[in-house]
Amino acid sequence: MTLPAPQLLTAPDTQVRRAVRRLRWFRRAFLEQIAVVSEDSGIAFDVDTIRLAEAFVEWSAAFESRKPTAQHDKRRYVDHVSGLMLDRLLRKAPLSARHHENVENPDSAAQFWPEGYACVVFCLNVRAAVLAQDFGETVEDAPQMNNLRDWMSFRDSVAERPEIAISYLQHFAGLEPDWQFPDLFRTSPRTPQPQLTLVHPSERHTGPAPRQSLPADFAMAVFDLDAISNSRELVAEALTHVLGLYGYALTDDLIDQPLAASMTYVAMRSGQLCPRGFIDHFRNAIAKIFADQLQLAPSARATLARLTTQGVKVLIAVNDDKASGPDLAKLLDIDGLAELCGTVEPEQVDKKDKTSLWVSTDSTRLQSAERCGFHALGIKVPARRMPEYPGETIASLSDFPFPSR
Amino acid sequence: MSGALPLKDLLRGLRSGMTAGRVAIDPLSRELHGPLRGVVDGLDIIASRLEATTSRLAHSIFDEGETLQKGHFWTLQALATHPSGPTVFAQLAYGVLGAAYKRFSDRPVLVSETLAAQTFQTAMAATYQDRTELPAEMLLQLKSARVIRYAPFALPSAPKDRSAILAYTAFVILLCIDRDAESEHTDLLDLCCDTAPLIVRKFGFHPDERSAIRTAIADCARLI
Repeated sequence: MTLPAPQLLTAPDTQVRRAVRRLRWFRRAFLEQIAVVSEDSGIAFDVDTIRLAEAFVEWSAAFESRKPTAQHDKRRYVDHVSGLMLDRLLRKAPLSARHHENVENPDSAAQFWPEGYACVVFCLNVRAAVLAQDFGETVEDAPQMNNLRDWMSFRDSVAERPEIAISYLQHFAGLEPDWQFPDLFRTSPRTPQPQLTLVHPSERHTGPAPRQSLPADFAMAVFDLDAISNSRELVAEALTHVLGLYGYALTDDLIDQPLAASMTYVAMRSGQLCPRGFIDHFRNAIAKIFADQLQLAPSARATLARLTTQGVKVLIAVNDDKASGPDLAKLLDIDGLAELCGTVEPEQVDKKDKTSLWVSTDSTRLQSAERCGFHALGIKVPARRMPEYPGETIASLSDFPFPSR
Repeated sequence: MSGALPLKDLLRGLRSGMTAGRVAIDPLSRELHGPLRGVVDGLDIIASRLEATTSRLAHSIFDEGETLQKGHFWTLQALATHPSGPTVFAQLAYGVLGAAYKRFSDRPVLVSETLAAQTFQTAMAATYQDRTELPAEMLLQLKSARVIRYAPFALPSAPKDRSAILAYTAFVILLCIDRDAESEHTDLLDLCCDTAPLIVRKFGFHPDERSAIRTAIADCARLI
């Protein structure tokens, strides 16, 4: 189906990707689009420009908060933010069809749901313009726009789950949407960014101070989840997503704080004392992101295996309440290598009077472990805004001080 | 601040009062007969002459010159460094606040240029160390001074008159936005009026919200 498009959206001298980020252009384009749809369908519309501005401002905030950094994600992001635009337009409902009763047997999407149709057409046209200008793709039609059954389920679904609009826009565009987590923009799988610095053999003895205080015969080793996996990065990704839903960006301060800190952050800014659905959104996001991307850091599996072989009991402590929930042992595939011990603090772990070691990237946690009688071993993480642990530290798990047996 | 501003306010007040008076006695002049009719007609004539005189006087001293020149846009930043900043600001406030208020309410209002100019000076003095605070300070001062007055007698607007607060907000946003080619096709004040409710809904306009208001104004201006 070829969509009616206003001249402004096809003007060659306007860079739509940039222009659409300003309300002055967005409103003009939207109003021109409505005029074209109105002429095409014979249905007149009233536009509440204050609601339109609200939709735009919320869309802009969501756009900013989820913007991917990797070049190869940018093309897919166009699909996602077009859906987000539809989502915000339908939520704010700036359009109302004038003198339009529900038609008994509609023969077009415009007749069935004029406001929804007009917004979908606008978002698809903006998407098409950006794809043509920035990616050289020609989008001539919307293959799924004619199916009235789709429109019926679209209207019903949006009433129950507004964010499903994102998936429907992609469906109308002929894409395969994510129906389960419509508002989650997943960056492409990438080469894991090691949280632990790889050190070449020649460099190994130039970094951290030689081991002095660690016992050679420890019987138990507790690793923080962040120390052996990419969990911290993924938690940040999930938080970015959920804060984005409320129109806020993630700050560094929130990453290592309990989930309640993020909720308070949203509450203080939005005036909503307990942001409804925040925890659910987060749990959904973290489950999905962990399922797709959680993995052990380089050398972690070998380290755990060697310790186990040496008879050391290995525990993995979930050091962040935000990472609790998903079945981490299964996701990390560490059965037989280590035991997970939930969200724990050093004082909660029973050492059974064994000489024990705590391994972490977090200096505060290491100091807490020391106070509880653990020997502490820090792992350096470059570019982390956190005070460096003053005690014994290694550059990566490759340097792990195995007990001498 | 120009010495003509209080006179302009006075003349506008008189004109507005005269117009209101003529409207008020109009039904009487139609229904009364005899000597009373003569009195009312006499009042009407006096009111008409006064209105005409004040209008003429007002126009003769209202030199809007470059302020409202077509295509000339003022920003708070430019006003802050302009030698006639307070007077230009007052003239802009008169035109813009009146138009913005009409977007939100039918109630006839007068905008005091004297108060607007004083507001500008107060906000400038309060932000002399950090001009990035000027927009938020200006908004708080406009609201506190109640620059928008109710016609016909220029009574202060209600402290919580939402339409007035929306108009002040739209005005300050307008003075913070940049212009581009698209501006020529756009009624920027209309866009500012569309986004002002987003800010007004969020804040109670307490002085301790200054920093958050500054950010909100900057965000709106950037998006427009």
